[in-house]
Amino acid sequence: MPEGGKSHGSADPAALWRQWSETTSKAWSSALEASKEQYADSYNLYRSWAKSVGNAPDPTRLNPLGRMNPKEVWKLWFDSTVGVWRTAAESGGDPLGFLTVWLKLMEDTQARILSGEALPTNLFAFYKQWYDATSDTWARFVEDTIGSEKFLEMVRPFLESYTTFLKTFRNAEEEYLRSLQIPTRSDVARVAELVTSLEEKIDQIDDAFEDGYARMATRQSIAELDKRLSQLESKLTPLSTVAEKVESIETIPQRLEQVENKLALLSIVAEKVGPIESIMQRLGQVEGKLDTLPGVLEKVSKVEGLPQRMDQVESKLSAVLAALEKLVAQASAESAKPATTASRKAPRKTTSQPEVKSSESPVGAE
Amino acid sequence: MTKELSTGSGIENTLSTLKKYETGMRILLEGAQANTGQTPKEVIWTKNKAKLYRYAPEVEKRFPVPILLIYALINRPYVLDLMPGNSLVEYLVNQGFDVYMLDWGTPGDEDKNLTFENYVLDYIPRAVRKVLKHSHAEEFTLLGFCMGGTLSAMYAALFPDKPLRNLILLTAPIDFTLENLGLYGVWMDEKNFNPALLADAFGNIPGDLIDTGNRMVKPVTNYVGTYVTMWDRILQDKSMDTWLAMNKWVNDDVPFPGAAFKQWIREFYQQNKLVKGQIFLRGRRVDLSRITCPVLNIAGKRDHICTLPQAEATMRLIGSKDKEFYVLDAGHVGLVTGSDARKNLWPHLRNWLAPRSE
Repeated sequence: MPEGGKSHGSADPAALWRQWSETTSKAWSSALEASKEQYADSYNLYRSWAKSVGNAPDPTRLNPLGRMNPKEVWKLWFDSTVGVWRTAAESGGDPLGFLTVWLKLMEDTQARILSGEALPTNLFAFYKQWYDATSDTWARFVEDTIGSEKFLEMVRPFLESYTTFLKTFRNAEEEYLRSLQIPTRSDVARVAELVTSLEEKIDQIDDAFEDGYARMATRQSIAELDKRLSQLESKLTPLSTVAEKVESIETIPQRLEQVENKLALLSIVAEKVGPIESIMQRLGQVEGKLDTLPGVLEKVSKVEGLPQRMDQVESKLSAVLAALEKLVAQASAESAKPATTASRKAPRKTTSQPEVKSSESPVGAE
Repeated sequence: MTKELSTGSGIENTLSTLKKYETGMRILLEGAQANTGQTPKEVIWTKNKAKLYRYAPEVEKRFPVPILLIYALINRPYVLDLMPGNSLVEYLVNQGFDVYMLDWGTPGDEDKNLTFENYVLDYIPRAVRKVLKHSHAEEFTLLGFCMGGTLSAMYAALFPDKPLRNLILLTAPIDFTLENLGLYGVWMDEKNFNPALLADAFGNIPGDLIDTGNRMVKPVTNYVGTYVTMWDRILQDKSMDTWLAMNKWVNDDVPFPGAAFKQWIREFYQQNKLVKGQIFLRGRRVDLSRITCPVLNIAGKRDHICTLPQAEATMRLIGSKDKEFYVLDAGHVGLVTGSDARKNLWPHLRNWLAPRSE
């Protein structure tokens, strides 16, 4: 299929040309507001001019050139030419006003040149003089015309018509040649496009090499790579063994969680602890108190001997009591013999008490 | 004796006149023939139809920063190297600059889908890389002529940092406000012209169609005045070299890739997106304020292809602090060629560039 358009089959290109020519002529006629009977065309001005020329008197017949002076020749030429253009302009077919401006230019030039100041000596000199005198006016007029809305209104439909036709014609040509199994221009272009794409890919590779993204691999570099891969493998083997010995990774998150909890507690404690300065003060106070402790402790150490001495006193008192009891018992036995039995039944309270030796003084221990 | 001389002189005059008419008629029938682009050069890189030239220096290289010339997508770039003695390239080379030029070549049917994305993001960056590699430089100066200036400005906006050192815009259209464009503004109005019609019909827009459009901006001068000048020069025995070279260049058209043409007319002329910062190339916004390198912006008062306001807008859009707008009383091409260019533009260019190319 040809690119960008529907197939028009193998239409006859000549018929298409004819069709386009008629369509375009109609478009121009419409734009130029020509009569219904006659299509406007680019030769209309020329036809009008040629017709007028035919009616103009032949200056050479009236006045043979050899017997005239140059001024007369130029005058005759201007008279006849201006007359011709005037007739052509009056006959119509000048919608853009070309002839009107042209006529004015001719008349101005005629007046200037024939005033006798600078008579041209040859044809080119005359033409140059005429061009220099009129080109500005003429240029302004042409530029105004081709920049006018009226002109552009004429060009728009022409352009649309022409491009549509051209596209249709090309598609038809493509189809026609395709039906004859002949490669077309677009087929060749497609192949060329593939070559261009290939070149672009080569450019990209070239860029990559220049940027250093890629370097040519040598046999040595491959051997080095192989060696390094082997080393890497040998290092990986013990790693796998070690990995097996490592405790299950699953416990790590739990332990981490615990650590996190503890850290959280610590942070709470840390928040509760007062500023370090107050702690230092309190530590100072504690130290001061600790300094007083040795004196107190000395006193305490003295107090610590008291219980022993109390025990001694108690034991001595117990001995004194025992001695007293014994004395009491002896005294009562001596006073009343019948009462011997009774004295035997006296409580043996002191049996557990250490015996007081006669030599010991119960008071002397004080 | 006197009679013989007189007779001989008459015959000689007649023969001479006939010879002159023959010369003129030959030019009219065969077209202007001239030996253009003669500064010695070598092709250092190609891509598709594009070629990157490096001009062979005839003097010792004095400036380490090379210059890359970017030409428009229409006509041929040899207008910058027209002929010996009338060549900007030759002048720069002789001043000790290392000069390179990117010639887009002649697009074929297969290139009808090329767009500004391709030119700005694929071709120019690669050409820059080749220039730097070839010249062993770290920075370069970018010089764009006409539409090549627009392309250069877009490149500079997208790649504003190193290696771009300087930007020179020679009659480069940036602001396409229709009111400033004269006849172009009327023709390019959306209601008058749909570029897709031409692009879809032709594929690539034929060079002579583009040329007709350009000539119609000054139809009388271009279609009549040129040939009046030709006959005048021939008949007065004046040198025809420059006229022939210029006429050859004017008629040496290249097709405009259809897709790029649609972009050019639609997005630049009709929607004026460049000054609005609305041109996107593969999703990258072309923001001219990102251009911060030194900029020399040159325009011609009598230029009808790139009018003065079109070029002047660059000055308020770029972010450069070191910038200069240099205006000459010249037309689009007269700016870079001819005696006025030799006297004014070239020395100014050299003086501006030299301290910035150390």
